[in-house]
Amino acid sequence: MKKNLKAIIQIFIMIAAVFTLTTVFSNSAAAADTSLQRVKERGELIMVTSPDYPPYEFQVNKNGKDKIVGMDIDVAKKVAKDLHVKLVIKSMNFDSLLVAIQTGKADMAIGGINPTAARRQSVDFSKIYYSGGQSFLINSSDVNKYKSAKNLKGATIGAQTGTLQYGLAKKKIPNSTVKGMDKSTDLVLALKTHKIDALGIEKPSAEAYVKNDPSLKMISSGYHLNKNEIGAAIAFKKGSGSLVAAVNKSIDQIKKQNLTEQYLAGAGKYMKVNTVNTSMFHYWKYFAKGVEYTILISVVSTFFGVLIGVILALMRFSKQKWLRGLAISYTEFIRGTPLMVQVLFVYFGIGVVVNIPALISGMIAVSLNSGAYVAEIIRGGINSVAKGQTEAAASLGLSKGDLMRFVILPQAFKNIWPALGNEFISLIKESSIVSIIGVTDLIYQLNIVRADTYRGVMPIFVAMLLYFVMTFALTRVLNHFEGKMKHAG
Amino acid sequence: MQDKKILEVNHLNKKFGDNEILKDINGTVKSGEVICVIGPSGAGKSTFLRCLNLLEKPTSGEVKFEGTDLTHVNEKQLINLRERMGMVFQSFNLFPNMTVIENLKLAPIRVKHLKDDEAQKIAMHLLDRVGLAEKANAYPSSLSGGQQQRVAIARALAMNPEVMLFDEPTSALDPEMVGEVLEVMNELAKDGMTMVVVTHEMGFAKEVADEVWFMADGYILERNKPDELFDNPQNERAKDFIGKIIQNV
Ligand SMILES: Nc1ncnc2c1ncn2[C@@H]1O[C@H](COP(=O)(O)OP(=O)(O)O)[C@@H](O)[C@H]1O
Ligand SMILES: [Mg+2]
Repeated sequence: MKKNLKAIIQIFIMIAAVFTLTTVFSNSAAAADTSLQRVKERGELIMVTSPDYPPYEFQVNKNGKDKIVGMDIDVAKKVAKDLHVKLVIKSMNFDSLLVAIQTGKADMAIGGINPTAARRQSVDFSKIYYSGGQSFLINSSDVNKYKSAKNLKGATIGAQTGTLQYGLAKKKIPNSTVKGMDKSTDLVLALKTHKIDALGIEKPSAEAYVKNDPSLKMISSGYHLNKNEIGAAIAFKKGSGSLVAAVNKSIDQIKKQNLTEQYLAGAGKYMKVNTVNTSMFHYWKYFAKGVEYTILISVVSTFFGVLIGVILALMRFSKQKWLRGLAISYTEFIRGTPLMVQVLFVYFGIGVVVNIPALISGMIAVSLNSGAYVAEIIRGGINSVAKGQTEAAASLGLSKGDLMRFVILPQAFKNIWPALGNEFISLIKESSIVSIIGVTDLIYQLNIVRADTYRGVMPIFVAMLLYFVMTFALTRVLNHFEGKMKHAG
Repeated sequence: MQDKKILEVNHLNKKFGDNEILKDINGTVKSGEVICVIGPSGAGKSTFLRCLNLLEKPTSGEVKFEGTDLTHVNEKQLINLRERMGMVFQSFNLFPNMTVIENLKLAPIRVKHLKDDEAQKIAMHLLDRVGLAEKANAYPSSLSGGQQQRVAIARALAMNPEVMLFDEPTSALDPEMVGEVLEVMNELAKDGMTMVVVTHEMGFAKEVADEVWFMADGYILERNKPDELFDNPQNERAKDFIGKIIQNV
């Protein structure tokens, strides 16, 4: 037990070391401001956004191709054009946007981000390019109940987690209960099903919803706010002064020429296109892509998960104490932390030292995670083979290797197989967590479709069905092989 | 019959933690001898037998096999010596993932490096000897207990051992199957195999044993010719124990 503890402490020290390293890296990068120079040398401006927030940014399907559009995208395009570089768009959860620029995953984050004082402590902001104002969405049936924001006293208010609206509702609506969710689409659904009474949201977004859904109405927030709390600005990693200055020039022009109005009108057009056909069949390509990525991640992670699991299991049966200790600590550590945190750690944490794309990061994290569980399954399977088998083999003079190869493993495999099957099935389901770093798996695509169609439930139902088809098919295949093994005695 | 010592045990002691299971055991098994070990449950009979081929490591004392002290050889030498001692377990311990013939051939091929056809020949001959040639390609789970134990005996014999150790080979069997296993063992003894058998089958012991050792509480309390020990035990514990098994027959 003490040995395990020692090994676990070692792992902690290793992780702390990686962490320190990443912090040092990010700080040293901040020390010399090469932000503008790097973008120009690269010839690419990389931006991150969370495309589920029409009309700021959202995903549409134009001529069979996925495209992220919206006012913010037009702003970013103008910036890139003025810098004479190409714009590269990456997408992920709103929560992760600021982390992404802090860890160098992108040059800038844009997504209706309000440059609050708190946020200014961790990132740099451009000038404000648009001031929308805050409002609330309510159900049309409640228009008499909630004539203005004053009537919301004591109500349940929803807002996107990590947004300004969340903090404002908490602070400014007396006695309110504030419910946070990741996706504005979920929040709208919560509103329509009366889980919340009102939804704190920026005015342009609220207007978009009201236009597309007659069961929703908008009321003004009545907040008295300074311009940092209503305006949207572009976020950069701290110490990117040169890049910020260059971007500000573009923003000055945008404001002078009132370009945002033009951008919003353009976004509105896309939204009209969007809502013409909201049947799920129309979106089959989105779901197909999601299924493709979910299967890809699952297959790759299953393969490496088994590989890692076998290696760990061998280490557990090794004569070397330190190998055993290492395997035990690894397994305990992985099993003791949520997959979501592991995904974030691989992408953002390790990503500072070596830049790994989101899809690969997701696969690495899921494989590392699955490996620990597979190792336990293998170990359990081996231990479940009766002790008498080992003794019989030993009494015949069989070597340890032969004992494993001919006696233990073939029998263990019969116990391992069903448990491994369960692991594969849960891997398909759990891989959905990679959507938080913007991997376009089924969950990610599901959210895109929901944002696109303003339909809350139907896409969820379709995704559920697709997951079930995948896991059910896998179950049948696994059962087939399990049946075959039973014949072999 | 030669007088060559196959097994020699000197001051054998075995503890599990603080629990002393075997206490100063001494004894010799000569070539061709059949020793039966009897005694109440928990006496340490299985532990004693398992110390003879080092499946259990003695806490102290010597276990000599043909003059070599097994407690002082390395892992590799031990594996080499073990293949010359066959063991048959109460619960058969056949490999369920292999057919009967594969069970028999595995060790000759992997340990003795026999060619497949040689191993096949030996295996078929032995299966014939235990009366199960027609079950060669069956899986153990399809056999009765008695058949499985006969296969287990054949499997041990396939390594051509110098001595066979049996740990209550018939006590897990339905009564009607005990006979077929004892018959195989009987023939083996008559062929001159050196055997150490933990058993309560008095008829078998009387017919083939050269000596019966009575164990209780980790000691060998009495050893004698089977007729003497069964009909006229000297030790009080032995008297008591034999009285009970006679009642049960
Ligand atoms: N691996 C072990 N660990 C601890 N105690 C054991 C172990 N094997 C046997 N014993 C104990 O040793 C004693 C003798 O067991 P055993 O040799 O199996 O007796 P017998 O075969 O005469 O019934 C029993 O009390 C048993 O509980
Ligand atoms: Mg026993």
